[in-house]
Amino acid sequence: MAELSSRQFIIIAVFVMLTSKLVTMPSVVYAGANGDAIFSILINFAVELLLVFLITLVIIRNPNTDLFTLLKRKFTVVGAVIIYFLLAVYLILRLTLCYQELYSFFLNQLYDEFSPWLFAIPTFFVTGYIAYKGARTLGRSLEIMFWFILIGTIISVISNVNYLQFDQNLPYFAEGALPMLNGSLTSMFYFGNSLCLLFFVGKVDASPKLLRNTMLVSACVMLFILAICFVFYDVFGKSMQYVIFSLSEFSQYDPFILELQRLVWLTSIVDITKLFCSTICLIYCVGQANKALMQTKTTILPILVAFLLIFSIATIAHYDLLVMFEVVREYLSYATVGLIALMVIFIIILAIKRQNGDLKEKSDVNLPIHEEKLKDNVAFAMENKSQKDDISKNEKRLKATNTLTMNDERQKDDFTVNEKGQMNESKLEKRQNTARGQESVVALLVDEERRKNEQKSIQ
Amino acid sequence: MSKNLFNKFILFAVVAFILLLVPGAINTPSQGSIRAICTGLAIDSGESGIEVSAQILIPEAGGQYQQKFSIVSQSGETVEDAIELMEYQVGKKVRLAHCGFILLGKELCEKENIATVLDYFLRGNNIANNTLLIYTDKDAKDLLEKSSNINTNEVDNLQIIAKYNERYVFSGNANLLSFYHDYLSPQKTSCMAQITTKSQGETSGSSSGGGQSGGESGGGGGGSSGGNTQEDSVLSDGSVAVFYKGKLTYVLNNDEREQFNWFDQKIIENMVKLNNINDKVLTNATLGYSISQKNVRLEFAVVNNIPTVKLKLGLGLKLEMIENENGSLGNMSSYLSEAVKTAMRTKIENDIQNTVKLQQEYGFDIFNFYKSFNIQCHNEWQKYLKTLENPEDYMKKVEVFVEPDIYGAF
Amino acid sequence: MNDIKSKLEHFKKVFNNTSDLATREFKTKDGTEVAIVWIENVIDQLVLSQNVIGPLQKFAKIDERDIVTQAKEEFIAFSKVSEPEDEETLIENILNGFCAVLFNGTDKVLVVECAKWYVRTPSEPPTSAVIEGPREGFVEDFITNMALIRKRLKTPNLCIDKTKLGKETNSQVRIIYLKDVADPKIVKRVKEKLSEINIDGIVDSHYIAEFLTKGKHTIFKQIGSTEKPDIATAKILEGRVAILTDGSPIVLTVPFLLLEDLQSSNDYYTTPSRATVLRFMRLLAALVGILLPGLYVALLTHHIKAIPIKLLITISNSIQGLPLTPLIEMIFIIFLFEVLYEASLRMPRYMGLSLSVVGALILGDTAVKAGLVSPPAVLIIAITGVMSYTLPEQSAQISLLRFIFTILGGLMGVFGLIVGAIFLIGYLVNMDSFGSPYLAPFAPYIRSDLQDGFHRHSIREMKNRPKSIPNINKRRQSDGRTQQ
Repeated sequence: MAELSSRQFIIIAVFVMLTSKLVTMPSVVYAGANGDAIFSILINFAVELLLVFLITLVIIRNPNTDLFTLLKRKFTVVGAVIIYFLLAVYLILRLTLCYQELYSFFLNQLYDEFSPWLFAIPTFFVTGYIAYKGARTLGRSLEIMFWFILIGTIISVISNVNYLQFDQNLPYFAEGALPMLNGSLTSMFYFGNSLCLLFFVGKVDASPKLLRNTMLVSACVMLFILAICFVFYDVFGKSMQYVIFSLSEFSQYDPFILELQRLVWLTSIVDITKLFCSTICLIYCVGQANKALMQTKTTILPILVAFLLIFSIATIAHYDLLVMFEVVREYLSYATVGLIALMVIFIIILAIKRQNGDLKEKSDVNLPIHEEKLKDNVAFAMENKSQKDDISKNEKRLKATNTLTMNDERQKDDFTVNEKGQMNESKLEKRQNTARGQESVVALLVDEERRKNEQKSIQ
Repeated sequence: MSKNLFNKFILFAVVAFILLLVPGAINTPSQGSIRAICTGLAIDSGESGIEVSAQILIPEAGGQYQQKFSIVSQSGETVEDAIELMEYQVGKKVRLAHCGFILLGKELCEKENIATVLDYFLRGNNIANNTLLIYTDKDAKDLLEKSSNINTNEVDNLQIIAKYNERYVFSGNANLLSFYHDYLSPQKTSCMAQITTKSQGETSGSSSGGGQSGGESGGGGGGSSGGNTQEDSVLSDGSVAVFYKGKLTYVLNNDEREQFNWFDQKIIENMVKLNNINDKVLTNATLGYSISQKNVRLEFAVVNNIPTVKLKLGLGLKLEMIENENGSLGNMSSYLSEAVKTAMRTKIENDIQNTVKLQQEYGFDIFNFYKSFNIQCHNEWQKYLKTLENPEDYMKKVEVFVEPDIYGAF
Repeated sequence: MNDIKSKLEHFKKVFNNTSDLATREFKTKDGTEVAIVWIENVIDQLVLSQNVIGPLQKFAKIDERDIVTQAKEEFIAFSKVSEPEDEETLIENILNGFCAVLFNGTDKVLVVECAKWYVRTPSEPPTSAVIEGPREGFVEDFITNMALIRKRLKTPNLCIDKTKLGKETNSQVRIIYLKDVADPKIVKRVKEKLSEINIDGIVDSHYIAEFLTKGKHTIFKQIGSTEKPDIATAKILEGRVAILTDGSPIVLTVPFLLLEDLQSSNDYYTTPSRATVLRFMRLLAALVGILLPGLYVALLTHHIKAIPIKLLITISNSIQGLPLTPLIEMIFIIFLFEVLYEASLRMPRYMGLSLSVVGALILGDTAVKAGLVSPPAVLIIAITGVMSYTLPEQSAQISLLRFIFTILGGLMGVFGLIVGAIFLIGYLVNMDSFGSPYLAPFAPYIRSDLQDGFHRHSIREMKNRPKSIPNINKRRQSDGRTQQ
């Protein structure tokens, strides 16, 4: 059931979107687009924003079904597996880049020498732990870290603004639009992150304003990244070829050399924590993808497999970011363009609102929800150690719910409301009243749902 | 695998990992004892190419703030070779993270392309990108030794002297990244401030550019008291070394540097002197004005294939000094007659034309006219460049007009 | 078995001939043989002789009623007089400070409460002292403790449920909650968990706390504890359940949030702005207390470039020539500090004072002068030591975490600290105490509860009970207790 609150989902979306955008992305785009890099980023953001919009729509429309079930229903099992496979491959490659970035960033900012193993094992342990514990832990952890990171980032940016030269990259489009498109294409690999959010379908307790808020926050994040990139390009200009890690180098450029030089170090810690958070999000998603592909019960094995793959790819690339950049620019970005196009089509199909068809189809669609509800009831019954009584009650409930979906028009309406996740208190009360008028079993069911909702509000 | 067994396995793996690491970690000494902390570098041209000298911190047991440095130098074909040799000599890895400045000797700057010499620093992650670059017309190693002998409580004497310049001398804040920034831009001109030594008896230092550096109005004047008359003092005399395409092309002496200051809004002049002023009140007077307000606006245009720069200069002047033959003016800090204004205009006009002449002669472009032309009149500028035989000589035809607006200020 | 003598023999047998079992035999006015049995030292002798023995000696049967009933109704002037139903209750009553009155010729026994336990008078507890605020503290007697809570919560809604734990100690345990506020599910779970306890003895409430804690190896406490009735009252008012144990001045409260230890009762007896500043300071101090030694070791062994040059000169001058590596040095000083702390707790007070002086001045100073440890390291441990005691309830956890983070910092530098911190957050976020997320209201974020988070709002603004603690009545102010 819903493991994340809307707020937690938005924070996850922020971290997913931030992944490496403030670290290596600006220099990669610059390599393709030179002075027009800022426009390439703008184009790519439009694409990413579209992805976020569509995925959030899917999440809102399917509050109780997970992605795999959803895909299975629309594209059959084969289609679902193919889509999952594509996503898994993309995410593993993306994660490899992210992981290498993290390692190189550490090495560059803080260490003289640092063994890749010493880095790999703790990273695996910590990120794997949180990913294994599930979406709830992920959401809450990020919720805590969000504030530290936000404050740290703001400090690191503010401390640098005094060295801006706004005319650094003027005039724009001196060589036409080609460099911009080139930069946009060759860096697309960085902008498919939001596909991750697909794995949170069916796990979010969607509030009515989720779509609006997500889009608003995403737009803010993107504006923020754009502003940083703008400042960044205007600080470094032509000397960009010497710069790989944007944010950190950026604070080194502070002319306040004698005293504030060591602030670099503080901003590095914030950046690294940020990278870590993003990595955790991605690892969770990779774990979910692998779990569905491998058909395992727990996520331990899928996460382990993902890590082995990532480590092997990173070792093959000799932990060298420049090799990875080449691969990204030459191959992966083009592949990502294809993937994103494909996914957009799939997601649009998923997001299309179901028309009011005949009743039969509807009840079919609704059935899994009731199944899940029943499972929950059983779990609850086990917990209360009154198994016998409750199982018989559950049978009654099954009957009751089935009759409800088939016959009672009013109750059905309430369930669609539930599906949209727009259950507010007045409706709840209304339902409660109607329920009390009916059989006591139905009343029980509704009471239980109310209890669950209260729990959700605590989450 | 049952969950319990898996948990035990994870626990075992973690314990094993920690046990494997702990001995190493326990034996890790402080980095301070295995690294030589370098606080400044001097680079000269040496026998086998490049001679690098490092100011290395020597810790003194005692627990109090006590600084003691030793100067180590080695030469090699490249900076990296020299530093490697230095590491063999010291027996520790040389750490550049605390290096506050790089001092470049005259000989090196004339012989080598500084950009290739310094490339090692920018690529390595050891040194901060904002490390100050300082030029010296003497032997860099010599200057480094002298500066570390100055008995103050500061670690970074040279840095402080150089930083003091920031307000008076453009490019007083030249650092590694800004150097490359300029080097890689189309104008290919980078500047850095000069620090030199001066023996106590001398009244003015000489700079390779030729002219005499102004004594009392010496923009820098940071200086430090050497204490002993025999000892040379280390100071910044306001000169600026100009590098074109990475090589030392010219050293602007203090006066020439002041002429360039008209282009820079941020720089505040100490005092502008006007000689031989004659009007109703003054006869053959020498006036010194300080500039309390300065407003610089540059307009770029290519007219008839001739790039023209219009410098609109708003100056708020305040009278600071009078040497009048016929007595004093009293307390008239805002005295500004037409004659003074004309003299001022003439001075500015002359200064600007001087700078243009200098830049055309040597080909450098200190205030980045290329970029401004390219932005403000992109098409005409590109057309203009195409008409030139060698586009790099774009300064040849540039004309600068000044429109000074002079007013009194309090 | 109606014979008094054999009855007394029986009692002696039951109590294994214990020497503190006292008996007294006498005859009433009408010649009935009466014996009284009690445990010495737990009975008020004066009360016994004046109010039990005295009247009974003058006792004479006045009508046809049962002798025991007559004695109970007419002669014994006591509020608590009863006839136990079985022998087990009788023995329990005797152990709890009742005296048993046996009459010749009947099986019936009267028990009269005239206990006089040694009870400490409520005084200000050494923990959670306040500048302006109530100074009463709980004592070891649970009846006094209940009275202290009752005194503050004069409502029929205050429920005190009774249970008994420990086969040998037979400790009285009370579960206290507000019936129309506390979530019945939590009350039920607490009762269930208590009923599962099967142990020979409960010596202190901390025994119970461990049974209520989820997971065996956790280093974080999941049960709140307080020594002050005002704090307990405030917690009960928020919907928590308090558990009182006989013989312990510590009252347990569940559910417990980490935030609770950041709050102090002092915060509510001062202005909100002052409380806010204090809370931020406490958090900062706790973070410094945990991370500073690790950071110092990490900086020295891995990231010397992050230390500003002037500080570096001072530090490298002071560690010049030390025989120990930074990590060992730091662990050594932490060990020394913890040992000093432990020793000063256990030493008799007058010796403890001299020990802390010896420890702080002589040991530290000599170690530095002998060149074994460096002054910065000693300074850092001194700072963190002071910092960690701004959260006295969490100081044990802080000192353990400090040790772990020091090792992580030495192992992997700042990377180790970051990894450790993220793991810690992931771990804490996962914990819950009786259905309340441990890090609430920060994760999950509960906006309305933040009014008493870092920034304390005015009590006037706190109109609702915290949502992080399950309760059935949300409103605290205005409309009164409307059921929601």
